[in-house]
Amino acid sequence: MTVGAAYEYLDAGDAEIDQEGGPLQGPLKGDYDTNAIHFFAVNLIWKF
Amino acid sequence: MLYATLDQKAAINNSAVPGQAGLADGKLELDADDVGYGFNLGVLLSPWSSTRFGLTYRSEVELEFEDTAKLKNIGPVLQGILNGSGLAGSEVDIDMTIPQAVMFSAYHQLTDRWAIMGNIGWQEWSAFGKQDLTLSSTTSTSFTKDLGYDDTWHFALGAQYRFAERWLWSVGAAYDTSPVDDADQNTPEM
Repeated sequence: MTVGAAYEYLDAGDAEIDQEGGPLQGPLKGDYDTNAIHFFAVNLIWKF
Repeated sequence: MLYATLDQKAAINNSAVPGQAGLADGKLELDADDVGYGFNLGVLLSPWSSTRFGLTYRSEVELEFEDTAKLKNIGPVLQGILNGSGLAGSEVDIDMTIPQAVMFSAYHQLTDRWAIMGNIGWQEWSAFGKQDLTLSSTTSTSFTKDLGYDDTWHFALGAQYRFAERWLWSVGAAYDTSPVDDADQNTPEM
């Protein structure tokens, strides 16, 4: 049996949004600059 | 097999319609799900005992979401336009594509303790950016919304170090190019 542990950091960059939209939808603007995901994984391989 | 759900809510700017000034926003809701099918293919070659090359292909998966748009708090003028054009209560059909992808990988055992590996991949996100929208009422209106996404490339390098017989360290880094270039291409979904 093999046991593993892993950590992964994903930097998704900034996400500046600047959409004009239409007359009904209207514009959408925003800046979400902390776009990161932390992955923690434990994996197990069992050979039988 | 891929199961996907679509849950979309959008505010409707009632006050932008002449005769509805001062009205609060209305709301449009879509809620649908679908099952799509695709396949994976892969080959692994080992020309020498210490070296492996791999090539994998993941097919695209087509999804089709169907729902009747639910409109709430729509002002009387806009409701009249929607009723008159037959769009109120019409069926909305959204087609999208989960992109196909190709990945090439290589692995090489340098010594008993050290190995290095890498990937180069391509994903067709330009296909995901083209979404077909069909409104079906008495007549059927269809158009393609092209979000202008670019295909993406993926580059990764890694190393493994066996620091004891039963212990293996792995470390790696990857970089993916972005499917969008500018802020006017970014959407909250991304």
